[in-house]
Amino acid sequence: APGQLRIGTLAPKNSLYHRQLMEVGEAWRSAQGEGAKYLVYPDGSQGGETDMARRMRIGQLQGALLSVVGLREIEPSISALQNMPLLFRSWDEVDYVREKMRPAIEKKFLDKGFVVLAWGDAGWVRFFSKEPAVRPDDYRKMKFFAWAGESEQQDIMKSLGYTPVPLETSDILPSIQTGMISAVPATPYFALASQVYATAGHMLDINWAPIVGALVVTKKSWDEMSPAARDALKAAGTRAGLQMRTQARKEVDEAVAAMKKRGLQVHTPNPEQMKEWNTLAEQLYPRIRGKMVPAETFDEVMKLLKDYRAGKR
Amino acid sequence: MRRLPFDEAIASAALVLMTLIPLIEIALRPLHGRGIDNAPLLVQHLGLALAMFGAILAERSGHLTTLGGGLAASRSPRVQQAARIFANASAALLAGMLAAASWAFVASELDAGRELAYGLPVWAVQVLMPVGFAILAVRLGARGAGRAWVGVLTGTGLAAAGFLFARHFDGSSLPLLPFVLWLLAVLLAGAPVFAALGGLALALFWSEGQPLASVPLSHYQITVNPSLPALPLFTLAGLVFARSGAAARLGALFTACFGGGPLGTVAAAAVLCSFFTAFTGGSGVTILALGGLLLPLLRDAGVPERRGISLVTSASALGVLLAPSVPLIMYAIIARVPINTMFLAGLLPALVMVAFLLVFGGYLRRGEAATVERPKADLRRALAAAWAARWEILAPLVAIGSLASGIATPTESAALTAAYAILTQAVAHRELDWALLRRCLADCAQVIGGVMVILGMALGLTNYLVDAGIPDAAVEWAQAALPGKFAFLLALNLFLFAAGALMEIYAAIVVLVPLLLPVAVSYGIDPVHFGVIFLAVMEMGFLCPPAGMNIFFASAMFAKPIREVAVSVLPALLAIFLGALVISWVPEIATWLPRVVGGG
Ligand code: NA
Ligand code: NA
Repeated sequence: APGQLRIGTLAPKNSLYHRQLMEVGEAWRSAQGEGAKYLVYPDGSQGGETDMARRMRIGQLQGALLSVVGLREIEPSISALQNMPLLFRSWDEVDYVREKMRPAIEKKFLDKGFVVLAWGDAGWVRFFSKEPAVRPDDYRKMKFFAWAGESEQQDIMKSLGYTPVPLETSDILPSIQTGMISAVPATPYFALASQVYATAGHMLDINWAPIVGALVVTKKSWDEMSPAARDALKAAGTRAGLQMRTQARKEVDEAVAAMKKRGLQVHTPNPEQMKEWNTLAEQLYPRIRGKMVPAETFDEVMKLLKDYRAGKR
Repeated sequence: MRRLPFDEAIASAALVLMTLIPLIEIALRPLHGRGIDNAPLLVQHLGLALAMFGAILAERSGHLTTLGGGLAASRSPRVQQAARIFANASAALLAGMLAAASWAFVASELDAGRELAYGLPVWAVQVLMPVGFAILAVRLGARGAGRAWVGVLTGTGLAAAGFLFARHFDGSSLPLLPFVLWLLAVLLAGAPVFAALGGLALALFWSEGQPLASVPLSHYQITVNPSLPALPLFTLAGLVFARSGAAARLGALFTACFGGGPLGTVAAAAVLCSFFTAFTGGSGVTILALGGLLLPLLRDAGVPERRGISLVTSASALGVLLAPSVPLIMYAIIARVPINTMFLAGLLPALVMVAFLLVFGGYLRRGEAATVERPKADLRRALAAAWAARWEILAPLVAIGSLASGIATPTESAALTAAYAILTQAVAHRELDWALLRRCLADCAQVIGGVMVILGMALGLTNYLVDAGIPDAAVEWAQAALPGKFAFLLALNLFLFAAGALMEIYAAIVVLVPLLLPVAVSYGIDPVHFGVIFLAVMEMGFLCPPAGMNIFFASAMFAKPIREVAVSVLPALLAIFLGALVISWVPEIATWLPRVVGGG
């Protein structure tokens, strides 16, 4: 309904993300004026990320804070930022590429009926396994969790001699406990919160891929807002995005420290092992290009990264 | 073989595929083969086909759940006739509205372009929802018409009227009160529960000017829930055992072990029901599988029929706390507690609950004298009976063993159990032929379809509560109003009781645990202990209208009106509530075992 801003998120109540969303809502409400009402639904109370994307499409929610899992429901090319393993070496590189691609990505979202208000991230994906492992070969004998919805990813893993076990996210913990899977790619924050690290007590310290997210609102609700409310929302979104990015990066380190204290073993590959990982990534890219990531987007990311590294040197 | 009607064909085919696909996945996993693309998603969406066409099948056979009694049971034939016409016409209108709301949902998905597998778009399955509700609307509207063409014409007219009304007013604000009054009348007149519940959910969203598609979206969400395929598959296993000689073999075993007296039979029934529920995931499946077996046994032992129904219905709710029940696993995941800890934590409370049910539910009271002379417990006969029932006794091992060994996911273990039931009864016992299997498939589809439409609509209601921010407001109020831990625990029990009556258990876990757990922790309650309290009280929700699944199942199974079953379980409700209070106030019942065994 007009005059309302309903935002969903999987983030827990009173978490950093939830608090930021409340601030965004408050800023919007005071600018929108008389009768305006905002509601933030934390804890996935409006369903998973796919469900939230659906609830935005039918007009029940006006906005959501989503990771790539939900965002690619709206615009598949977004997976470029998350599905290209070992491509980014630091957050600076992620920030640079995202900043350059932002206008184009945001345009694509607009064409699909969504306005991007803020970009955030939630840490790097690392490998958590029951047995210690540092080299790509060490993982070949393991059974990997793979998202049930992504058959391309499973095909790619199989083509390189890995064993994906497609499961739902809700199956991860029982499956690693019973031994149906023995390795889980996950962010440290997820591993800590889900207790996965308690069974899979070995973490490979590589920045496999960043988890990125964004706060989006539907274009329909955007068009119905007063110009002042739009400006306030945009400004609050930018502030919240900055907060979420800086805080989330700190939380990753805190999560690893907390798990180490409770017995997590962290394995850091030496330069030679790192070279093996990079070789694996090189093998992956042609398989990802045009399949998991649209070819055009893939090439653009590669070019931007080359530019960045050339400029920095 | 009889002609296969389209609803039965689609629902049964979906069920067969839901059994086969996970088995193929288990078989192919060690071979690193390709497997079936997106198998879990495929199985979940087959569940949608099963649910919709199962509901249509249930409608055709007159098995859609109604409230029973009311005006439809009036002594005046004229009132009865009027009530029936009013109920059917209203239900047709409401189902037409649900078809419109579902279509709005599917239309929003057309652009999304998600693919299920093998080029099949997701919307191609989702479209079964508006189609299903439209067929239901036409059929409900056609009920009772003398000539076929009159029925089709009336049904189509009513369905179209509901459809167009909902489409026209979708998004505008309509007043709630007239709807609520109409829906109450509809329910009393004997219309199917799903129509009234769905109507209420629609009316609530209407009152806020929120999109109607929210309701079918919730229905879709629960129907394709990753854990849900376990429900029809365990039901199928239960039905196969119940319809073959398995029930009699288990009955013989229990008679030999416990003797045939009322005390032994009642205790055996309670234990067997909770044990069975543990692996049917706390659904009413136990009632279907064991009801037909236990009720005659109880009757023969001198337990009055109503008390027998009450015992089977309420004891079937108790297994929720016993490993490996799906709600227990689900809580562990949502609350982020290790599953093994939850398994251990639930064991003693489950026993406490069974004891409370037997003692305070009044089931140990002496009944009439036994109608049949029953034998005493006897070891030699027990061993012989155990050997005869060996395949059935092994069934829980198949279910739990495949899970615990890491061979199968919960859905796959349910499929394995269903296949195991079919194979042992067909091959080892030669008691299951094609005709009987077909009947089991159709019955399973009807039960699941009838339950799923109600569940889906109930989840639509739940989503409205969430949408309106009501649970949040309640929690804030509780924090301000409740001074101490004991006051909080008592209020928690009462609140969960109400929630359990209104909500489906999985929705309750998903929605309420993240909201209530932080409050509980702030009162110094351990998350493991909280989970046990939560599930213990939720057990009552199975026995309480309007969302009490066990009442619906029992009413269907024993062919008794819902109201009668609901009244019969009142003593059990009190007993379970007392048990839950004790478990609440003595945390050691839950936390002692995990601490001793695993160090937490
Ligand atoms: Na599952
Ligand atoms: Na319930």
